[in-house]
Amino acid sequence: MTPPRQNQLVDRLEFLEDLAVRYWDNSLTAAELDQLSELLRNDPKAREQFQLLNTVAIRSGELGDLLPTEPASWNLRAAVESPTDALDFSETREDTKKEPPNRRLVLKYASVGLVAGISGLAMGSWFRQPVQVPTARLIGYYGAVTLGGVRVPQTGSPLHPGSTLATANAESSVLVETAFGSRLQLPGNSTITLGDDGHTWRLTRGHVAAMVPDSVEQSDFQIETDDAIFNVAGPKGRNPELMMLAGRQNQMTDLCVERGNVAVLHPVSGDRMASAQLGDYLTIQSGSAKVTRETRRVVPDRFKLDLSSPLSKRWEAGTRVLTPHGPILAPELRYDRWYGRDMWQVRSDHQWTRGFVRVDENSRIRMCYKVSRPGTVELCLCVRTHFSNQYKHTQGVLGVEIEAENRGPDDWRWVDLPATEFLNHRERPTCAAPWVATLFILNTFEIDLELQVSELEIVRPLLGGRL
Amino acid sequence: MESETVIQVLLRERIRITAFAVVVLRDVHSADDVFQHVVMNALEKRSEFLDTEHLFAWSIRTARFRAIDLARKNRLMVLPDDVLDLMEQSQTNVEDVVAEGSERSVALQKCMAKLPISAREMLRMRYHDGLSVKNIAERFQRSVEAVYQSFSRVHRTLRTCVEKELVQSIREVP
Repeated sequence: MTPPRQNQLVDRLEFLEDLAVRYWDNSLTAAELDQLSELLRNDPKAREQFQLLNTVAIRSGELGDLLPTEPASWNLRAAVESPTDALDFSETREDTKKEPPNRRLVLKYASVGLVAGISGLAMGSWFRQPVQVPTARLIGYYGAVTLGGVRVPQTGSPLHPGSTLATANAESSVLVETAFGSRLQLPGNSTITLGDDGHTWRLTRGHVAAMVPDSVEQSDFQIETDDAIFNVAGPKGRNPELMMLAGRQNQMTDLCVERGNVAVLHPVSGDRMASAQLGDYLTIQSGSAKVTRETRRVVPDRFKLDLSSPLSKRWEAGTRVLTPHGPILAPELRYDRWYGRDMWQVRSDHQWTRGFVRVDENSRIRMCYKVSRPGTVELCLCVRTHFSNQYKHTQGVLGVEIEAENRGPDDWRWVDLPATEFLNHRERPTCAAPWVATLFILNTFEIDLELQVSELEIVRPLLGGRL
Repeated sequence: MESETVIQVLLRERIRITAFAVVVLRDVHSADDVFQHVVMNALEKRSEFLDTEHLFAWSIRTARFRAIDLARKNRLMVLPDDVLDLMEQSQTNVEDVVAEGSERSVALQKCMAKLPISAREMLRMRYHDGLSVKNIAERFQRSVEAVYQSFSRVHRTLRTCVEKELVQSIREVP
């Protein structure tokens, strides 16, 4: 790359922009890195522009708000179909004019000044008031998160009794810290409200992970649903450290305890219904006040699809069919919110709270299947991290597309793939492995290939130790 | 120092800490991880901080070392120390560019919104989704060099646009 004439500012900035793109891609040669360093060392304007480029990267996460949300692949396809016309600035304004007004965007900019003003006032009053300690504070959030129905403008916002916190979609998540230092993490599609007593969190939708670190002197919260209250409030000693995951969906509440002890109370009378400790997984059906317990010390490293008995009632899509070959799993037509179309799919029961298998890069996924006509079969594993002390990198999708063939009526085939081949999925997890798989999906898109799956197995080589 | 104060200070300075980590790591999510690491460590060490300035200086240092460690682990080229010192010193500009509601930040947001959808998607894929230029080139069915040039063009477009917006905002001030 030829360096520019040193006296021309525009040339220098353009040279910097060329180098910066490659710097981000870690593809600079040593000589080019020296050139970039020289520019940044000697030119304050170059440093300012470099910082602006880094800010573009930070802000790029917000571009999702500016794009149509469904279907997700639309923008990429548009870019592939017309890759060059988009990048000429002279066409930019025309292009913008053609787009319908984005109400969300207009509101966003209209509210920038207002938000800045309100934030300034809020921060000002926060520091002016000497004794006011919020009941909890929003430590960080990712994606579309609302507080009291309003898009959260600032991390650090206090949560007072009555505050409702919601994550709008599967990609969003939020982390809250209580006054005593306990932490609650809300993954996607979840809603929680802080009760009037300042320590009861009412989960009305989705899931929550809660952690009381060892350093916290007192547990100060309980989680309530229509079906149960999970109480961990109390002095340190009884719960030196606690980690629990709770969910409210499909007319039931479930709880998984990874560390510590949790008292399960009746939602109306407050009577003790059960207690749960490390490795316990409890479910409470709506209106039954009946607690079902399953003790499993850790999420298993091996999963084998069991078709010998009927599928769980909470199975989301797909059917078990008895055939001469034995029981098989077959897809059914359902509306896929991600793609925005009807598709032929199998979706297992979503086990966010307990997970059904641990997966890492060394795992192998084996499947025995048959199709009546050739086509693409997508196999996905939705995974989450096991650790609740974060507000992003909490979930992702491992996915692969298999080109299925058919050479006869009994052409059963095996695929045996390493998990690394699933890491090219656009929503691949960015959290560290091992991941906890919560849902598997088989998808033949809009074409019914008459997919039949007789076996599905996920195996993680035994490494020992728990999560 | 009270944990409440530690959190207040770090959340107030979050943008500056994260932006600095981004310069080293070139990955927004990793930079955010660095910030989380700083917060957790600061809470553990809260009794050692003399005042908020001490805390902030420690946080920037910790973020820098953590980011450099991660960069080396990931075999990323790292800018020389003296350049990083200069980047660290230009924090006022950082805040001006990144801080929510600042003129430059609003101008940048406006300019990013003006980009065509495909250009925005390209930025999003590269910076938010973390796809390499090679991966993007494969998806767009273009050469790697062409994608590099496209990114350079988008950056130039944004620089020109931000400058225009800032000039316009000065004119609009009565």
